Amino acid sequence: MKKVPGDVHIYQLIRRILVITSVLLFGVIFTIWLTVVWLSEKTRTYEELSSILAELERDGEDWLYDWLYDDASLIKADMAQDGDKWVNSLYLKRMAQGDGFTAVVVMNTEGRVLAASDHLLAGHDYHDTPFWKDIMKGIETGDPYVKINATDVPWIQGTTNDYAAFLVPDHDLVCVFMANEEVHDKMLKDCYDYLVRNRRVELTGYLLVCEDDGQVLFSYHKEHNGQMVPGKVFRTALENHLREQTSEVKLFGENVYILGVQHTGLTIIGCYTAKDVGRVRVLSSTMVLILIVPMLVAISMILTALLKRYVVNGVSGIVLSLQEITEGNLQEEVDERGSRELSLLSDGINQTVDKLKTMINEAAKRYDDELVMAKTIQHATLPWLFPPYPHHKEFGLYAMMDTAKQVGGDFYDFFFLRDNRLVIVIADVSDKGIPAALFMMRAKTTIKALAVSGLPVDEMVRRTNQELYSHNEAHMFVTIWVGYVDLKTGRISYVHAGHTCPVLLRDGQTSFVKQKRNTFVGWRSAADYEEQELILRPGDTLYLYTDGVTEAFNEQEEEYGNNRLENIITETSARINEEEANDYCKDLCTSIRADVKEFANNMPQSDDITMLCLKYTGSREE
Amino acid sequence: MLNLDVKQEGTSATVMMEGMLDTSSAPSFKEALSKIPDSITSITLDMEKLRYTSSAGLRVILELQNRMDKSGGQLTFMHVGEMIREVFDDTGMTEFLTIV
Repeated sequence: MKKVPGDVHIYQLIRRILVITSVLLFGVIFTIWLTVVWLSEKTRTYEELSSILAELERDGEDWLYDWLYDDASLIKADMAQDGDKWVNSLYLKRMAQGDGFTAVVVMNTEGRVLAASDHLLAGHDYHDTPFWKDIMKGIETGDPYVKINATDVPWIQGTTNDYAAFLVPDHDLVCVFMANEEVHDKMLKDCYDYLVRNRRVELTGYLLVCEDDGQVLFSYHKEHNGQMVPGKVFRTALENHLREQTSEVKLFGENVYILGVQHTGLTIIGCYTAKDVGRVRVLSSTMVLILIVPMLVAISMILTALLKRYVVNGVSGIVLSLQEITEGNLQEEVDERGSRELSLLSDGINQTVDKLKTMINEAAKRYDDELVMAKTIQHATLPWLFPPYPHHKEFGLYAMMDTAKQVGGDFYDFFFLRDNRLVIVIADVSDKGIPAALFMMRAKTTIKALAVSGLPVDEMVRRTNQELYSHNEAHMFVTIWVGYVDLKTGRISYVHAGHTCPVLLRDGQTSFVKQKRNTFVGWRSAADYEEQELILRPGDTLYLYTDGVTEAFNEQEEEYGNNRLENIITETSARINEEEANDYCKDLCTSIRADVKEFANNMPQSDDITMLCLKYTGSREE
Repeated sequence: MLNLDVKQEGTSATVMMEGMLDTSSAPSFKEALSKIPDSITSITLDMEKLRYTSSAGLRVILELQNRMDKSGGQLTFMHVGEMIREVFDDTGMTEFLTIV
């Protein structure tokens, strides 16, 4: 099947198809109709001619019948008055001559001739003849009784005769009037003369009455009178009658279809003009047009309306629903129930959408699961075992990372160098999510590798910066506070790169470690990082954290801030002063965490909260 | 809440900033900046009415600085208040930004 053009409406396509089909159908019907009409032309023409000729014949006979009947009625009335006068052959003879009858015969009721116009007939008895019996029977049913083309008249044989017979009851007389062939023919001629002149064949056709030799006696068209019908045409007309068909000939300058009959010495030819045949053709064609075209138009309109109702509207409805769905409204349901197919389509689409929703939810869940897994991995890569160095009595250490809902970019780290210095790191990667977590992993491993390789802290950070700056299309950066702690002396060599200032707790007093501040790591290849120094005294506590702590917001859009941090540290330290270093650090962190949570109240955590606490005791053993 | 007013004139644009640039307003700030076409080669951030910025805001600013550096354009910070200036100093950004 040909591909349907995608930007044309179904409606339009169907309309096109309907128009083409209608035109073709119309063409076919028209052609068939015309063919039928044309094929049956000849037959119809024949039937028309045939019926006209038969009609003419009947009319002729009726004419004769009426004439005889009327005359007989008059004479019967006359004879009823004065019957005896009639029983006189001489009288009858004179009457016959005068009125044009070939014979007038008066008989008694027994069938014996009493008087006749031919006196030789007198005295004959025709009682036993079929002729008499016929008359008697006839008179009973209708009086006068007229018979045309009788063949059993006893005193005249070999010819056909027309007669009228009637009974004169008062005088017991039966009278018969005879008209012979001659009279018959004359009567017919007169009759035909009249009829032919008043009768047309179809519109322009006509009838001809001719003699045996073809000479036209009477015609509808006066100019034909006296002309000769060509012998061939004449013969063809009569042949057609035998063959029960008609044929076309040229006669008197025009094409006609002819049919002829012979009747009592005359030949009647019916002529149906070719012109009229053509006219009928045009008429039928027009009729077909007038009938069929509106019919086809009506059928097309009905079909289109049905199609619209049962298909197009349903489909349009589905299209609208689908648009809703593709725009993101997955709650939309398709509900076209106009037909089985539409119902199935609606159900099918809804099922597909449901399945998609399920798949989306599952994918989202998988994504969440992946996030959870990423978070787990992230947590696992950070040192999580506390206390990490229980055998080291010179310090206590605790760290924690509380990630916000998504995977975070904060991290902490601590490890020993070969020269037994302790490295502590806290960092905050810009951004959140999996990219931040990956960057965080990169940063963490780079720092450790470079530090362990023996580089001084500033050089280490410089190289870390260069390493992270490369392959950093997402333009992420990380803030770092990293320090190398000499546990023998309490001396920390550190780099402060864009990070929040650590809090130093000394003798119950807090202060921010705020000297030189270098910029973030990973966003400027030319950035420089400087080594700085801080010396811890035994009993000092250093608290490192990320801005998730100080930038925590409450409902009033207030920040937790530095002041609150200092306060909670001071408060807590007073409480836990006697504790073992590791426990001290843990309790301090926990307390700060709780305070921040309390401050934020119901506000969701928007950033990772990470902290690392180092308490320097200075003693190797306790 | 952050209100922005971006005025473009030829190849330069000025962004008037008012309010607070924090985690919630940083995305809209980022979007407004992304709408500035590449044909603009000089952008000025007027921070006279900017009261606060958090690390989320810093990130957007750094991204903008990177973008201008890459295309060879110019990014200028104008009317930087004390608080914002402190943040820039603390994070060592001052060295790398053009502040007037």
